[in-house]
Amino acid sequence: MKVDALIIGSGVAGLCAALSAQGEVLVVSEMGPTEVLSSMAQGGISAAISPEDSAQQHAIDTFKAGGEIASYDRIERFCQEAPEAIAWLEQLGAPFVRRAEGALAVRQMAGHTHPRTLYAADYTGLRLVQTLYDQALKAGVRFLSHHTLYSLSHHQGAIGGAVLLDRFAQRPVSIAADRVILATGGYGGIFTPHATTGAFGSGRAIALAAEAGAVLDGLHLMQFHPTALLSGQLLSEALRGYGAQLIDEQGERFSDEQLPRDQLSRAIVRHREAGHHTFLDLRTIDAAILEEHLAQELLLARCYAGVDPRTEPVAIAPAAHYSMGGIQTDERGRTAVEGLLACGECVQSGIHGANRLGGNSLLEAVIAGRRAGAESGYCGVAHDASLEPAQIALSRWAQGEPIALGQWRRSLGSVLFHQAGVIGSQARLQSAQAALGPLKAALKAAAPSVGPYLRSVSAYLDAQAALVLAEGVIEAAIKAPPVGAHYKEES
Amino acid sequence: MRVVLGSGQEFSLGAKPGTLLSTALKALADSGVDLGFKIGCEGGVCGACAVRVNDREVLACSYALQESDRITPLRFSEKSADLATESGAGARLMRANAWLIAHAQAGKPFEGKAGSCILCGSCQSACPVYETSSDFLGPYALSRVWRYVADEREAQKQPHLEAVQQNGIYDCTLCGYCGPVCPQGIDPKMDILNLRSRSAVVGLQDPNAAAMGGIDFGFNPNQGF
Ligand SMILES: Cc1cc2nc3c(=O)[nH]c(=O)nc-3n(C[C@H](O)[C@H](O)[C@H](O)COP(=O)(O)OP(=O)(O)OC[C@H]3O[C@@H](n4cnc5c(N)ncnc54)[C@H](O)[C@@H]3O)c2cc1C
Ligand code: SF4
Ligand code: SF4
Repeated sequence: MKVDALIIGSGVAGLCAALSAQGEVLVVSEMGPTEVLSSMAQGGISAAISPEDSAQQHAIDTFKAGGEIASYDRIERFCQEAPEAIAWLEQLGAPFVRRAEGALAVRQMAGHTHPRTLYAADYTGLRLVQTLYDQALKAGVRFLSHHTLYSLSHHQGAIGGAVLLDRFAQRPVSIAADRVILATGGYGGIFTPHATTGAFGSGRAIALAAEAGAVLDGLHLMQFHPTALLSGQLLSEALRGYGAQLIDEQGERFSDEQLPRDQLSRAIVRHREAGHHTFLDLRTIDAAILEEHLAQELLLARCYAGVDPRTEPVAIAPAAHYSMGGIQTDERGRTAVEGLLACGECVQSGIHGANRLGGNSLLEAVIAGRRAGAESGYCGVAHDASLEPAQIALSRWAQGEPIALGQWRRSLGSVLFHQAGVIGSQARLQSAQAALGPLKAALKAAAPSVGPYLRSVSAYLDAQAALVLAEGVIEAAIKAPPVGAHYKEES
Repeated sequence: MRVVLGSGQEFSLGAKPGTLLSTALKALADSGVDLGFKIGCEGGVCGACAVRVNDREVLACSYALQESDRITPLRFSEKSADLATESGAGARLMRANAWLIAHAQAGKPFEGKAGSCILCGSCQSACPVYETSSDFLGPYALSRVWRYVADEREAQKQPHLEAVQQNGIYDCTLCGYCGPVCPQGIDPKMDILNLRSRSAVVGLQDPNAAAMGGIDFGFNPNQGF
């Protein structure tokens, strides 16, 4: 099959790219089209839309929060485009909450000098995804769901398609395309179980892009959220806003709950490393407020931590939340390889610097997705790549010795979190690097089983990519000076 | 704890009763059992992990396992591999015109629950109409059409209503099986009833009833309106 634009990813970035692309468009996703990480975003999407706010102020806030290392000019153009992006979403039917008199409502998020985050109840992400999906169907965009990316097709130094594995049929397919747009999301999942990203986020496409010659940048810049359940689910910042307190097993408070995310994460990790357990105590919040405004958080705590936060504190710890680093692109989404574009959380496009502000990532997914989709001139040489390498791999794996990949991933995540996570130091980073050796050997000696829904195969490909990214994260962290979310102690 | 999966294979899980099904499935995979299943956000919002437990639809990431639970895939899916399924939502939503057709510039967005559908497919699996007709547009697609018809910003209500007449709102038996299994608290039956009354208001009537020589007023009630 040959298409004009092959978009890998159906999150907010991929769907926005699809709605902006010319010609025949095909959107690929690992599972169903709306079964994506973007659905998880609750907080909202930021844009300076009120008269008392300005794009310049939004840009200054973004630049400062990012540790002043990103490109101010790019940020300014990005923030200027934000109100128009919101108007576009509104035209498509996005159900943003409005104030009584009809104007779009905005909420305050940490680090923004003005309330400028639009929201759709506590379901901003999923409502955006579903609205964009409906519009993509309306526009005649085609979807190839339950297909997982196996390789990018190179030809004469450019990208001209991809080989995918059909998860139901358990066989490879080749798609030729003038250009491939990666919208595959971030790599926070390599820190699993210390990640808020559920089962998403191994960064496989990022590793494949690098193999194809794209440049990866700022991999060490990972944002940690201070209050996640020990199983990874995020407990909203709003809880601390309403007065939830951080306590330890003695019931003692040990930090100021209003500190910025990175500082609070460090305080919690230090307390835990001193042998304490850490909890978020919601009993300080009025029960009526909890039930009315924070029902989702109550549900998460009950379901995943097995506690009723109205009567007992909930165990929490920081977890990897958002990857600022990724595939380097210019403002139009172009990578260093012709025919290959990228947008959304998988890129590092010079906006978030060393710390992303709340609501700016959905905004980036929309703006960068639209820009990359519209970039029809950056083409490679479309061609149907041979299926043979994938076929050989599948038959080789069918005879291999399966490995407990979940356990392997948890080991990798623990190394990263404890040695290259919230608090780094040269000594910790070097021990992380050393710890990767045995993990690498274990993975090399193993093979996935080729079975229903290619679940094991997909997990294996994710593990390989997670290892590549882990090496990249540690290497970058060793070299880079501390800034923003990247913190290093004297060792 | 022992559970029965898929087509009758029985598995022994190391997990204790009360463990989340998603956690138990991951542990089972880790123990070397190659079973097809989907896990996504592990927070109940992406819709990937819906399955049936003891003949009732649940999200694996929010169901606490009990001894002897019988876990099977969703029914009436387009594709399945063990517990992993594809409901076929895309084609149904296309047939139903389930999108905003034309933005009217003014007006409030729809704020009801149907706007939070995660396309998990649970309602479709619970709907008995599919036992006899796979052409039925079904609960989530009809619910989504109501979401757009009831959105004040939608300038074109009529095409929505026309799209749900055939194999749509009148094929629903109003049994109400879809609502209780919805993880988002949506009640598609109510949305379908709303679509029926809105259709009646604009003079659209049950094509099956009409074919059977049903109600015929002998004039077009829309004439001149
Ligand atoms: C719990 C949580 C809450 C958040 N809240 C907010 C918030 O309030 N505001 C905000 O701005 N940001 C928030 N974020 C961040 C934001 O949600 C993400 O940065 C953004 O949604 C990423 O969108 P995306 O389109 O780039 O990628 P994703 O939504 O991750 O989509 C990736 C797509 O690529 C596909 N894909 C990936 N790998 C492959 C492969 N190998 N083969 C085939 N397909 C593949 C997937 O199937 C999927 O379709 C939150 C994140 C989390 C985890
Ligand atoms: S109420 Fe209608 S849509 Fe819902 S399950 Fe019954 S027949 Fe199906
Ligand atoms: S209406 Fe409810 S049960 Fe049906 S697909 Fe949507 S979320 Fe799932």
